[in-house]
Amino acid sequence: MEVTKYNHNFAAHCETGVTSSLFENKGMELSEAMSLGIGSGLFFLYVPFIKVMGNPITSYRSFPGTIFKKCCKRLKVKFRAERFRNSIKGSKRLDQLLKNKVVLGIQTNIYWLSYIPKNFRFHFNAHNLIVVKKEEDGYLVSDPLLEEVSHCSESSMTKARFSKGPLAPKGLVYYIDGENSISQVEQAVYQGIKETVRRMLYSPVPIVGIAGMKLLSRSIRKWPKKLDERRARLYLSNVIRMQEEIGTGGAGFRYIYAGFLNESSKKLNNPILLEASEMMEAIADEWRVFATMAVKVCKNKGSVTFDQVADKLLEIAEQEKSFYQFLNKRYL
Amino acid sequence: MKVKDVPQDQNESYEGHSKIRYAKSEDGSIVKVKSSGWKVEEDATSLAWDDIHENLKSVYFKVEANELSPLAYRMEEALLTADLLAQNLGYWTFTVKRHLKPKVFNGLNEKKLMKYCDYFEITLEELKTLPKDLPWK
Repeated sequence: MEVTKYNHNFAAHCETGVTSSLFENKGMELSEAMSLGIGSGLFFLYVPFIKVMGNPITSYRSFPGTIFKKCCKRLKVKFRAERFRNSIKGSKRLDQLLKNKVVLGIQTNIYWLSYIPKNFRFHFNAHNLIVVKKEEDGYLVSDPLLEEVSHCSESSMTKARFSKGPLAPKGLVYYIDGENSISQVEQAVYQGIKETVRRMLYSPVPIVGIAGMKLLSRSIRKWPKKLDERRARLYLSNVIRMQEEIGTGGAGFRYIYAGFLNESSKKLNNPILLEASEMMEAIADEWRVFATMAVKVCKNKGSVTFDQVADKLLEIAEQEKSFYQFLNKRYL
Repeated sequence: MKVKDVPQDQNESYEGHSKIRYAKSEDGSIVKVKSSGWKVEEDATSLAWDDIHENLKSVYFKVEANELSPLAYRMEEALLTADLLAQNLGYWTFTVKRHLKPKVFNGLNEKKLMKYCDYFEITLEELKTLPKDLPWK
């Protein structure tokens, strides 16, 4: 394959993978884990009153699109982002940029990307990937979720980029502008951690961060009483899907975050971050136990109950709380 | 989790691809590891799909009984709601909901039907009929 100078990056998550790829193809070193940490991607959100595909929203990551932007701002790298109202103009602009050999990140609806395994294609409008170049009958794309570069037809591309609904991509393209170099890594890491710690500990709304986890724990207790059995199980399995299925590197980004802390501690020669990394890893292991328990409930295997799953979550919430407090006291 | 503990449970949903999980290597750094699946994740995925197929089945029988138009089946199959479908086609939601009624659907002209066909990437014939190979079998 005649890809000039483009290196595909196989990653756990779409947005962090794209961010890392865009940086590295401009000659700047930024791993997926570092982009998650600097872009403050770690998160927790549970919204009981808004349902997507029948399930209440649970998210382990920050709002789509923010990771790349924050990475650029904190590392003092110039970037451009363009959205379009008109799909014809948007497609033309994409082709034009590709002709100028710009490596582009785009936002798409994952449902229309036929190279993704069928069971992972839903109407989710904020899937990020990279377009490398235009080919005769479509585009060569580098999707971080797959090991190899893939091909996407022109009609799927247009449908994916201009799909409507919540988080509509509006043909978003983004790229790093001109020649840049990374500066102020230490400060960027500090800012990234600070935002995450603040958000998780001191959220003004009780659906975010530690408070969100506790709210979810209370909800889990209520589900078997309030809902019919099938729906209760579906709600719980949806939480696990958000934690494991959607490309989180395992345990809802907690392992990647441990990787970020580990890498930063080496780069900045900071033993506190190394200690934090080990704490986060232990938390991630607990999330895996939580997932295993929850699925047992869903499949009606063994004697695990909804209450026990809720207790486990509460335990993890306390553990995460002391983790953020540790960072707050010793690092910030 | 250590590198050697990364699950390799051959999840069929991955269709031969693998997924990256992070784990701790021997030298203490946290690295990317290819994983072919984790049973726990697979179970959660299959629960969701069982539910989708359950809904699709009930729509199928309603279409067969002429309570809903075949469009309802295609919509459900594409994991859409009337609201989302309407937004994507530039219709009002109530227009799409009207088209779900067999009587209204049968009276639609070809131009309107083609709009749905283009979106779902199916032929006119396919839009008007129920498919033969069903996903839940």
